[in-house]
Amino acid sequence: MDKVSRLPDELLVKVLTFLPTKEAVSTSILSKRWEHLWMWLPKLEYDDQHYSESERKRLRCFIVRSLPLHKAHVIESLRLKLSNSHYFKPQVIKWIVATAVSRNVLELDISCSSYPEKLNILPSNLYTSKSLVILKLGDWILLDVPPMVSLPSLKTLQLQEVAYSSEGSLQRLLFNCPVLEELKVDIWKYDNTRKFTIIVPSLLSLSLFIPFDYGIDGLVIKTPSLKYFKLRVHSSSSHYCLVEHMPNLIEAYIDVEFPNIKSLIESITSVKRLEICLEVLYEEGIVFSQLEHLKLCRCKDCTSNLLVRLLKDSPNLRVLDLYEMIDHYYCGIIPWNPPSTVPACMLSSLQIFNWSAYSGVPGERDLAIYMLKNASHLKTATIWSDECDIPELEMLKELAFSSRASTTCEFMFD
Amino acid sequence: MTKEMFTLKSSDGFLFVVDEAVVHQSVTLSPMVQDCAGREYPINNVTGKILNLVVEYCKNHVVVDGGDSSSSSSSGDALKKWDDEFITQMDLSTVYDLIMAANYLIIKGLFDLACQRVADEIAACKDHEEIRATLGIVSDYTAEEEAEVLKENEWAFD
Repeated sequence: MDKVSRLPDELLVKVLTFLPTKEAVSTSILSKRWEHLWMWLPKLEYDDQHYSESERKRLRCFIVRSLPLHKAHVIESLRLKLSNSHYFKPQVIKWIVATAVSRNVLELDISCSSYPEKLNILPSNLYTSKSLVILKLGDWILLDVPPMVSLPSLKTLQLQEVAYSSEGSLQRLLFNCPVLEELKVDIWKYDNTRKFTIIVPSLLSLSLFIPFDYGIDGLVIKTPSLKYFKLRVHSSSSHYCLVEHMPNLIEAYIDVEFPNIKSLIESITSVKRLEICLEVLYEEGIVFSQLEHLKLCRCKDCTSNLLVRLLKDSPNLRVLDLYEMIDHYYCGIIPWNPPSTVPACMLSSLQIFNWSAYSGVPGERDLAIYMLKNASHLKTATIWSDECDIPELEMLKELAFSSRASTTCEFMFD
Repeated sequence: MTKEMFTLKSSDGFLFVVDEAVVHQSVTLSPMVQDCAGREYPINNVTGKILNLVVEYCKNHVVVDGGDSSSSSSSGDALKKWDDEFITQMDLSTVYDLIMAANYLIIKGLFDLACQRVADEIAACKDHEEIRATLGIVSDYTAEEEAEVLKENEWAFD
């Protein structure tokens, strides 16, 4: 009794979409009806990590034979995680990608591990694909952007440590993505690009990472529609940095070690939620009029002064978090320099204060006491202590018995 | 404000009275909200037994889906647990009927849940003989034809 056969072909194919590609292909053996059903799969995923050489050989034979015959009208997504091995030489991978592009692929996710040699696996038809909506490229793939580039449907672009063939490759590519909404770029530490220019009027979300000690000459960002901004620049060279104002910004994560931050700070003044770590104090005259949640990394020497300035510049701040960003290490003592007047937000809007990794040393204690003593609308203050010399009970006593401006404040110590 | 109630009639004559929030989970039925209050709406290709399960699913998904989108993760976990128990206790034949019903009524969550159940059954089988037995498939390959398929798609049978 063929019970599952009651289902029409299109529904059997739908069931197959819930299986990994390999399992789905193996259903071809079940009966004649099932032989070619898997060829209607809209999404294909091939991953040869942990394969033996003979398995890789079989996979290559399979893809080369079956991909041109694939029946789905549109390949919705192709994910390739292949190692640059004897069986998957760059030419083969390039052919696979070109075939998918010719079948109007919507999403391409390619990462091919190899030793640090640039992988020339992107075919020229990729750069003029009318259908491509999502493109994700991983480690050391060579992005050799041709003169004729047009990606009219591309909305999401992720470039994870790719190799740019020339200065200006990235900028030229972005110029020809008229509807791009999401961009994530992680720069490879051995890349040769010195100037980064990101001009994308349609962009809503941007994440840019420049690694430690990278030789960067300049950074220009013009993304007037941006809502989500993540910038991590671990290079401390004093290159120029020009960022255009972003009036629609909702969230920003700023972790930069270079000194020329004036334009950057001016560009994010509309932000509502901010996570930030800076090497230097920014200039006066900034107002974060819509900032309601601030998370400040307290690993740098300028933390104390930066906190005072941010509090003064954020009249509507509701939540303040002091914490350590991932991989940032605090190993000093913050000397707390209290401001001459209490910042306005502490007298009107600040309701929640959180401090993780509190160690109770005098500078920190003074800051904590200042916050509790002066924030007159504070609803909750939560402090998580770190392992250190000062016993927890003593820390707790000092804080719990300090005077508090807000009579309704709930104090929690962990 | 009293809730509008709607009557769904299965192919074998069973009646189910449901409210607007349940109806709206089906893209196919959603438009009927405009003009079918109080009248019976026939669903000709779904039996009472299956329609009962569909309604049960939809009623359980109203509480979370109909509410605010920022429902806590714990209520999301509870719903997932309910979904798992709901679909796992059914025999496969019922699941196939549910797939067809959810497809016709266009209820994505239920459709995906039912398809995933069948996919999980396939994935749990250790070889194709077991898959055939579980899904009730009779092979019409000759020995040569089967060997041919095994050779062509060799990679998938590692």
